[in-house]
Amino acid sequence: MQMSNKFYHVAALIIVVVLLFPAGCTGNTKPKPAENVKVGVLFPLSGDLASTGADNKNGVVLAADEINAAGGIKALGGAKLELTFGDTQGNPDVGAQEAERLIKEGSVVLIGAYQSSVTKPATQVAEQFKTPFIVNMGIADVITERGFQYTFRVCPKAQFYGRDQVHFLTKLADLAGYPVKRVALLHENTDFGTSTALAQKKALQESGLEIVAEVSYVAEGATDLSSEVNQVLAAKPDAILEVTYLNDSILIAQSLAKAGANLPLVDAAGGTVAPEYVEKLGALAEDTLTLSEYSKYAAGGKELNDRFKARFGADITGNSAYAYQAVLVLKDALERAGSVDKEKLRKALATTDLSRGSQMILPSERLHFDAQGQNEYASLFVVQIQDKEQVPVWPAEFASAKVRLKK
Amino acid sequence: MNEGPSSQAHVPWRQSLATRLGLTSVLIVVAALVAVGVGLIWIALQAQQESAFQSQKKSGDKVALLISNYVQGAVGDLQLFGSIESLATMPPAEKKAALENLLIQRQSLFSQLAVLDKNGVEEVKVSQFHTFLPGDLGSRANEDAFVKAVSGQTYIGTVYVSRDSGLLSIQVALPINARGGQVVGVLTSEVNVSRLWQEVSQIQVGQTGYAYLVDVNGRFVAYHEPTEVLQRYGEDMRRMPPVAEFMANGPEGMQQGREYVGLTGERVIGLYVPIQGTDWAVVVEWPVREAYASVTRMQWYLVGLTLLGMVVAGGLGYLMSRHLSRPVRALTMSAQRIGAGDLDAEVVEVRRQDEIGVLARAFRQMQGELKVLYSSLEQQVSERTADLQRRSSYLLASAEVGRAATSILEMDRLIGQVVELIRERFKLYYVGLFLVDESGQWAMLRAGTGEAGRAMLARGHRLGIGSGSMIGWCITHAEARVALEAGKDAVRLATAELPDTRSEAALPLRSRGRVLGALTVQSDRPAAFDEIAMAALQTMADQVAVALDNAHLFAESQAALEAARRAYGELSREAWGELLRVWPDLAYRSDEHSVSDARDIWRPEMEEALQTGKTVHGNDEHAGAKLSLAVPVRVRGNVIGVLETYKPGEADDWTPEEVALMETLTEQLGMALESARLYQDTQRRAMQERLIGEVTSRMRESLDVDRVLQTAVREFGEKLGVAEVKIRLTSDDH
Repeated sequence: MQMSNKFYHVAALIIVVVLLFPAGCTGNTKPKPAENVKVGVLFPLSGDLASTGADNKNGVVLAADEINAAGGIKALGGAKLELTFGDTQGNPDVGAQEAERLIKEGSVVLIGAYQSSVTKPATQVAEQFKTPFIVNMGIADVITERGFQYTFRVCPKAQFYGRDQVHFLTKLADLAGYPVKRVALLHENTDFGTSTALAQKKALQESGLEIVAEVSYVAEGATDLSSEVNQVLAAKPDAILEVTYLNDSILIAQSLAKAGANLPLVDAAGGTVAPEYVEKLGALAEDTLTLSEYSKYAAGGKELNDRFKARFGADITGNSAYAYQAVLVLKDALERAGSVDKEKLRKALATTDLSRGSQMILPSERLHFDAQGQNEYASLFVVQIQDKEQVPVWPAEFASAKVRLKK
Repeated sequence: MNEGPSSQAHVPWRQSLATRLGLTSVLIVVAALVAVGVGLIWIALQAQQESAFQSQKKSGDKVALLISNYVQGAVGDLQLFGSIESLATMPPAEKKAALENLLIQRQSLFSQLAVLDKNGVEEVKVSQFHTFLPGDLGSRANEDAFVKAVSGQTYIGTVYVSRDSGLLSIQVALPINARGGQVVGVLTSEVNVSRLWQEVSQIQVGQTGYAYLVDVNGRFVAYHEPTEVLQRYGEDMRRMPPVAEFMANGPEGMQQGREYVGLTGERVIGLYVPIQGTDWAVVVEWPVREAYASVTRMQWYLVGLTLLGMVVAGGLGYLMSRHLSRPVRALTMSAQRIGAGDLDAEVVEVRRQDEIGVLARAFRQMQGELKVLYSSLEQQVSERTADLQRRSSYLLASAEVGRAATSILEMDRLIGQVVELIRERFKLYYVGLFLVDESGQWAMLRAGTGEAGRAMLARGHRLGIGSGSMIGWCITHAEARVALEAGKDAVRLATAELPDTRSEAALPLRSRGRVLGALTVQSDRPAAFDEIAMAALQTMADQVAVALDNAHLFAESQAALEAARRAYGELSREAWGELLRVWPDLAYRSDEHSVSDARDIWRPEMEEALQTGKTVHGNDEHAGAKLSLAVPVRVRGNVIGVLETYKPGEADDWTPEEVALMETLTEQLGMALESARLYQDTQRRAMQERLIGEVTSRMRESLDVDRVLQTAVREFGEKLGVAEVKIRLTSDDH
C-alpha cells in the first residue's frame, strides 16, 4: 500500500512536470518578429497653420526615416518606427479627438502638437489613456504644471521665453551699447501670448525694467494691427517684446515700418522665425530679433540642416529641429525600455538624460526632464535676421554675428 | 486467504493503538493551537482594527488639513488682496496691474482673477491663459459665486476642470468692502487645486492606501493620480459607504471605519474626514490586505504552527504510543503463539514494573498452567488410548479364544488348543489349565503351554483344592486372584519349570454355578495383570468354561446316545436270534424260473461275509464259471444274513457301481426285514395286550377272592393255551 501510494505521487508529479514543461517552454521558444513601434504624430496639417504643421512633421519624418534606415530599435529586434499622423486643424477639440483616435489605433506614444491650446487637451487625453506624449513644441507653462505623468516637453516653456527675452534686453547695452529701460509688451491674446507675457512681466519686474505699455490683440483673422502698434509706440519704449504668430508678426512689422519706428523688436520665436516672415517682408524683416530654439548656424546644425534641406527643400527650423529631437528622445527611451509597453516607456522617458551629440542636437548641454516632464535644460538663443538669414547673436557661445541695431 | 498467526497479529494501521494515540495527540495539539491562535488573532484583529482606524484617521486628518490650509491660503490671499483699501477706488488699469501682479506672484495658485462691480459686471479680468480685451468682459451677476459674495460671504465652489488649462480648479469669490464695510464689488478667482494633489500624494496611507476627495453631492472630485481624476471626475461615489455617510451626516458626522470594495477594486477599510472650510470630504481607503497584513501574517503563522504542531504532535504521539504499545504488541505476539499451540513461546516484558509487567507475569503464569494441563491431558489421552488398544486387543483375543473354544467339542483338543491360544493372543509366558477331578480333592493340570507344560503334564502336576496354591484358592473361592509380583503373593507356589514368571493370575472356570477348574496365566513382566487384563481374561475364562462344559455335556450326551443305540441294536439282534431259532434256516433262492427254498445252500464266501459283515467277491470254480457276490444283510448293525448273487461266467466282473447298488438294495432289504419283524412283533404284543386285557377284565369281574382266583386260573389256562395253571395264596407265617 504504502509503496504504491508513493509510486502514484511520484508518477503524478512526473506527469504534471511533463505536461507543464512544453507549456512553459512554448512561451520562450521563438523570439517575436520585430513589431513596428506605432508612433502617433499630431500636428495642424491643414488650415492656417498647415505649413508650420508640415515643418514640424518633417522633423519627425526625417528622424524616423534615419532611425529606421540605421536598423530601427535594436532593443526591440530592429523594430521600425511606424508613423501615424493626426491632423489637429489647429483646433483643440479636433486635437483631442485625433489624439484619442491615434491612441485607440495602437500608438504607444504621441508626438506633437505645436500649439499650446491643442497640446493641453491632447496631453490630457494621453494622460487619461496612460500614453506618453512627447511635446516637441507647445510652450504654455501649464502643459507641464498639471501634475501629469505622461507628458514630456522637449522644448522650453513660456516662462523660459519671457525670461530669456528680458535677459537679452538687459544684455543689449553690452552687446550693442543700447541700454533698455522702458519696455513695451505687444502680444497676441491666446495662451501663447498671455503666458509668455506673464513670464516677461515677472522677469521685467525682477530685472527692474519698466513696462510702459502692454497691448494685446486677437491674432486670428487680424488684418491690421496699426492701432495696437501705435498704442505701443505712444508709450515711447526703448524696446518692444512681442509674442506673435506669423500673420500678426508681419502686420506688426509692417505697422512699425509705417510708423517709422526704429527700435529693437524682440519676438518670442513666434511668427518671425517662419521662413514666410522673411519671404513676405523682404527688407522689412531685416534686423528683427527673435528668440529661437534652433539654428543651423549652431554647432552641428549644418549637417542636420543639409539633410533636412536635401529632403524637404527648406532650412530646418526650431519646430522641425525639436520634432527631430523628440523622435531621438523616443528612440533613446525605447532602447532603454526594451519594450513597447507604455508604462515602461513612460518610465524610460522620465529618466531620459542625453548630452549634446548625435542624439542631442539641441543647443544646450543636456536633455533631462524634471518631475513635471519639462526639459529643464531647454534654452533659447536670440537670432537676428541679417541679410534674410537668421543669424545667432546671443548668447555669445552660439553667436555667429553681432547684434545690429537700426540707426 | 491463509489466516496464519502472522496475519492475525497484523493490526491494520488505522486501528492500531499507535495511530489512534498519534491522532489523538494531533487533535489535542491542533485544538489547543487553534483555540489559542484564534483567540490571539481575534485580539490582534481588534487591536489592528483600532490602530488601522487611528492611522487612517490620522492620514485623513492630514489630508483634510492640507486641503483646508491650501484653500484657506487661497482665500487668505484673496482676502488680503480684497482688503486693500484703495482697491474699490482704483482706476481699472491699476486694478488690472494689481490683479496681474497677484497672478504672477501666485502663478501656480490662481489661473484667473476678476473684479466685479456690485452689479456683477466684470471690471477687470486677468488670466494665465488668455488676455482679455475690453470687449471680452461681461456680467456675472447670475453666478452663485457673485450672489453669495455680494451678500458678504466667502464663496468656495465645487471642483471642476478648467477648460483653459485643463487644471482642476475651484472658484473662490469674496466681497470687496469699502471703507464703511459695505460691499462695493466682488473678487472672484479660479483657484488651481491640481497642485494640491501632488502634495496630498505625499501623505501616505500605509504603503498602498490612498485618499480621494468627494464633494457634498457625492461626486468624485480629486485624487492624487491625475489619470484617475480625469477618468473619474464627476463620478457618483455614493456606493462607497463613507461617501454615503458623509452625504447623510455632513461635516459634523461621525467618522467610522468601514470595510468595502474600494476605488481600486480591492477590499478596503475606508473612512471620511470632512475638510474644514469646504463642503468636501477626504475619503481614505486602506486595502484590507495591508491594514490587516500583520493579522494575516499571524494567521499564516498559526496555520504553519498548526501544521508543525500536527507533525510534531503526530510524530511524538506516534513514537510515544509505539513505545507504549510495543510491549503490548510483543505480548500479543506471545499470546498468539501460545494460542497457536506453541506453549513454550517466550513471554516478554515480564520484568517490567508497570501494568504491562503485571499483565505479562499473569500471562506467563497462565502459560505455565496451560502447559501443565496440556501435558497431563496428553498423558491421559495416551494412557486411555493404550488402555483402549489393550482392551480391544484383549477383547479381540478373548473373542478369538472363545470362538476357537466353542468350535471345538472334543475336550482334550479343546483344552490343548485353548491354552496355546491364550498364551499366544495375550502374549503370556505360560498358561495352564486345571480341572477338578471326580473326587473334588484335586485340581489336575490338564494342559500347559510349552516345554514346561509338557513336563508338568508328564509328571501329573496337580494341586490340592483349598490348598495354599493360587489355583486351589481360586477354585475354592470361585474368584480370580492376581499376584502382581509373583513371589510376593504368599499363596502362590513357585514352580521350578517356570523360572521367568514375574506376575501371575489364577482365573476360575465357572459354568452353570460350578467351578470346573482354573486357568493359570503367567507373564514374564511384572504387574502384567491389571484390572483391564483381568476383566478380559475372566471373560475369556468364562467362555472357555462354558465351552468346556459344553464339551463335557456333548461327551456325556454322545455316550448316552451310544448306549441307547447299542441297547436298541442288541434288542434287534436278540429278536432276530429268537426269530431265527424258531425258523432256523430261512433261505430262498431265485433263478430264471422260480423262487425256491435254499436252506441247503451255504457257501464259504457267504460265511465270510457273515463273519466280517462286509461284501465278499467269490471266485470258486465249483459253481461253474460264475462270478459270485456275497452281501451281508444288516439290521441295526447286526448281520442277520447274507445275500449271494452271481453273474454268468462269461459276464464281466462286478463293477463298483453294481456292488454299491447291491449293497444299497441289501440295506433296504435289511430295513424291510426289520420292519416286517417289528410288525410281527407288534402284532404279537398287541395280541398279548388284548389277552391281558381280557384276562384282567375277567379277573376284575368278581370281587370275591375265590372267584377271582378261579377265573384267573381258568382264563390263564384258556387264553394262554397252557396245560396247567395253579395259584396258591400264602402268608409269611408258614
